[in-house]
Amino acid sequence: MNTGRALPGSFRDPSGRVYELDGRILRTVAAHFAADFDFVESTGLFQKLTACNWLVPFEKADTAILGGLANNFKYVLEVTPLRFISYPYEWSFPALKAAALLHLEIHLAALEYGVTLSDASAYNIQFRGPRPVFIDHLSFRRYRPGEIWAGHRQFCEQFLNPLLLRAFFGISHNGWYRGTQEGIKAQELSRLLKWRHRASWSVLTHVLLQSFFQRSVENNSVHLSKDKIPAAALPLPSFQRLLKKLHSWISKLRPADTAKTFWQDYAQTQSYSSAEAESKKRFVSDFVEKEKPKSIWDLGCNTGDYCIAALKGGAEYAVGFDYDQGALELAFARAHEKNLAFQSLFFDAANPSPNQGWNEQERSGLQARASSDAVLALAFIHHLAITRNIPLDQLVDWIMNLAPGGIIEFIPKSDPMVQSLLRHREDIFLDYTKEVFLNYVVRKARIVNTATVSSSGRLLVWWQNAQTPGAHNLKT
Amino acid sequence: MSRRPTLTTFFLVLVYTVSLPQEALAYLDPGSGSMMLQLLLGGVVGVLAILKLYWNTFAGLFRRKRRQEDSTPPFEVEK
Repeated sequence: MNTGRALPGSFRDPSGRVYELDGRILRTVAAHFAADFDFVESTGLFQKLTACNWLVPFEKADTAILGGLANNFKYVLEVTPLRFISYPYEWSFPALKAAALLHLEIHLAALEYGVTLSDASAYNIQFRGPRPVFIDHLSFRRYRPGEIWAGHRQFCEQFLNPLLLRAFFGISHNGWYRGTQEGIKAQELSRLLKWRHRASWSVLTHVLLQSFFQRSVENNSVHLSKDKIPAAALPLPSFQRLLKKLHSWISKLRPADTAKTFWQDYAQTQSYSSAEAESKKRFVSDFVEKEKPKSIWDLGCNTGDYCIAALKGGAEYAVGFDYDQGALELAFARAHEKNLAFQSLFFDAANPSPNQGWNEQERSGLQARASSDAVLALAFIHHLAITRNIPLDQLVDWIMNLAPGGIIEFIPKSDPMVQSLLRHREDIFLDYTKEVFLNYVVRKARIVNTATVSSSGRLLVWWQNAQTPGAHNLKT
Repeated sequence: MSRRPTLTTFFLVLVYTVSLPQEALAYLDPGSGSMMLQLLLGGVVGVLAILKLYWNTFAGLFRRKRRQEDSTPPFEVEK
């Protein structure tokens, strides 16, 4: 079966492209870039970075493997595929921060080997659980002493400024970032800054001065052409100092809105006693032990309790999605502390990431990446059905299209949480009943087991589809 | 021209030395603002390059003002 294709997100850097062939990920090294690649390989940098788990490992593959799909290349690198592809506009604050720090650490390590990075795109980083990993082997090339950091603008736009938006103003980066796709421009951020933000050498240089100089060039106060940049503009020690100072600054950034969110207090506010929470976790473990999903999604994962229960029950990889930034931060911290195969992402189920970017294909939408073996929707559907007015039948269909099996929790109107959602609203949700809900489920799947897990009547429904829905397995 | 050839010569030599251009190395647009910032952070060499860039701007403004005071070119009617 030969189902090879070039990945639509891989086209900007002419030094090579990424292809997918029968589930394998292959990266070509263009003929004109081969000398640079050979140099980097000869330094031993790739081995060092993969040994630290900072770079995805690769092996050189037979050049005939891609057939006619690609041409003008010298090498084909086979790269270990990742469990799940995610984008910077889906990452939580700690994840974006970890990615930024990794980028700087890799660049500093590379300079020790006489190598530099030709760009600083946040899309060159993916996650394995809570750990960021660099995926673009062609970003590395020989360092020419004194050359400027070509990726600095991109680093500021795609890593630094989105982190500052949250650190200075408590505004999460996800919406803005998804809109622009390429981060936040220094000129825009600089317009928001107050005096207390400006009183910092780091802000002065990376945001204000950069923005000021950019404006000078754009309104023709200054004419800057390539021949005006001196060859030895940025000596290596200055370059290293620049990277280290950025690293030190970013590692201290914290969200401005550090007060506990409602969802972080969930443990106290949820409608379960701890015995009820335990029985819910047991139901999830039973499901995982019986159905053996390798990867599992959790919609509304909160701080990751049920992802962790699924991993303990034998799942290999869990991706959790939530809307609450505070919960996502705790989820990330938990995964990081215990080194769990659990990745947590920002998402609004009523507005999930769409296909976007060049040709509306460069970055795939959430549903296009739905390739997990099971999906959990626990303490979830009432928020969409009631608060967001999503019709219950469409919501159930949408969940069940994401994976071949899973668990959906039905929270009845008698539950205190639903009652609080309805407190100031007219109850227009005539089909929001257990019987109607179960009818929607059995339209598409068979129910394997159910359990009532709270005194308010919350019902867990374990369902399994007859056939696997056709989900694309896209990795960019 | 200045009547202190030694200082001017020194300045010009330094500026021309540092004006040797960088090779175009990346597919990525580094951003003019970023390039200028790095010149500044790079030390004396870069600071001089920045001064030279802005010097042209100020010198240009000054020259334009002087020309206006001397005479205004005749208004040309387009045929």
